[in-house]
Amino acid sequence: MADTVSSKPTYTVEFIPSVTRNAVFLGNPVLDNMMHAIIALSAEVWAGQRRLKVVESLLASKREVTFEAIETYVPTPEQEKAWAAERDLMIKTTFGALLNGGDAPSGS
Amino acid sequence: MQFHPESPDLGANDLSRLGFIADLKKHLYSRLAIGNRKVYEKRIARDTDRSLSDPAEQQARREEIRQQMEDEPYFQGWSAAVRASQDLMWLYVGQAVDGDLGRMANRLTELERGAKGSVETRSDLEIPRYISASDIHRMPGNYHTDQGPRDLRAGAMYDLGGAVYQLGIGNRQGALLNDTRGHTLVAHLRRYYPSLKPARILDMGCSAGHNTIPICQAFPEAEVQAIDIGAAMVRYAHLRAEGLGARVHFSQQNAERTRFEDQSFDLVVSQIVLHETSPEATERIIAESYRLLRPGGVVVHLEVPIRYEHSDVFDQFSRTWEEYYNNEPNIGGAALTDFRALGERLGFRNILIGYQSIPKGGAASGEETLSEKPAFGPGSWYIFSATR
Repeated sequence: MADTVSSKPTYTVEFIPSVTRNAVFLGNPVLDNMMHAIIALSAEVWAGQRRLKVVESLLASKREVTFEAIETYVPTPEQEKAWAAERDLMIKTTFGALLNGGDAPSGS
Repeated sequence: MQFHPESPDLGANDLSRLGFIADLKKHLYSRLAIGNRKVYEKRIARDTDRSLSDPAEQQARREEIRQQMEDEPYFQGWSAAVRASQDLMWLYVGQAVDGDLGRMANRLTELERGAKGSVETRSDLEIPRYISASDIHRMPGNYHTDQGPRDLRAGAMYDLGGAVYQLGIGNRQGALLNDTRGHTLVAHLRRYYPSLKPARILDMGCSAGHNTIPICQAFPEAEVQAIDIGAAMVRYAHLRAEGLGARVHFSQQNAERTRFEDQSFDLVVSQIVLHETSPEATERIIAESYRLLRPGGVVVHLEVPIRYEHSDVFDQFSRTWEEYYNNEPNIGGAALTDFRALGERLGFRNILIGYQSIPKGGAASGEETLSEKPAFGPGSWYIFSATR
């Protein structure tokens, strides 16, 4: 790999962190942060659920359940489809609440 | 597990988290996004909105809509979720990449032994402000951060994150290679420049090189040069291309003014670069592509399919979300650029403008056409092509 001759260090500029905490959408930055936390938590729940499905698959096929076996498990096409549908349903159920626009009930 | 043989290796939990984020984004950008328009139509829309045609009036109205939507709980909740999904995507991508950087660096060393292509970086390259001022699409470190002479992080981040993002917004044709732009560009060339046999090709702003490879594959005899502003970006692109069997010469350069000689390429392209620069840089990049093109050569600038003349003011406002909250610096500029007038002023001829259909199943058939209006959903890319 060629690197042209220069006396300057090879890094260019300092790392600029993502502009994460600007633009408070929910009126209070804590609420924005809670949204972030809820999504992160949901992702962890899904990761745990999927891992459990892999364990169940290994057990059902009487294979040894090891860290390596879980990490390298390749779902069957049927499992891919079924697990994707479950994930989709989980997202619809949990984040479907965002569809609630908060309109005042009629008559009020 | 890898998205392709040279991508960062993901653990099972990495894969699960990224799959979750892609699926959540799909929901946010489809059925949940529709709620924003319902709010607008119920409480904000005016009868005159649909008839506005003056660009200045549209701009003023977009701004009014944005300020009113920002007070709407539905939009607030949706925006908070979209931004969090973007930030978490990069967090998970970063965790996966950081866990595999050592292996990828060793892989690069291995591939360099018999490399068909090359890579060159320049530590004194000045980074333009539209890159250095913020993290574009909230990717930590942006395109240009370079953490050392063997750093690959920015390229690996973009390769992985870009694929997840495209899957999330419904663009599934390129799947995990994320190369629909390259295939669409080739489809455009096959249909509208069928006799083109370029000996020398330049891809301006190639990032991780994922859309350079389809061009290499379409013209296997050509010398392919590809440039990007980021050193870690082109190093990773070099690893990726070598590993996937493509011969590309990568270099760290600024597309506004490259180090190549006048009229030294037969085909010059850029793929979704301009909307991440500035209006002034857009003109300089297109002028540079003219300078580099041999007489009779072809230029193709491919962009995101967002054009304000084909959108009502609410859709225009929706697009500005990317500018205001996702650090896409020139989405609006690109959506308003009159590429035909610009091309004519710079001296291009035989200008073609329109939405090029994405080839179904990946490879171009030669039948995909350019249309004046966008296809439903992410089914096309916007193209400006011309000859010198």
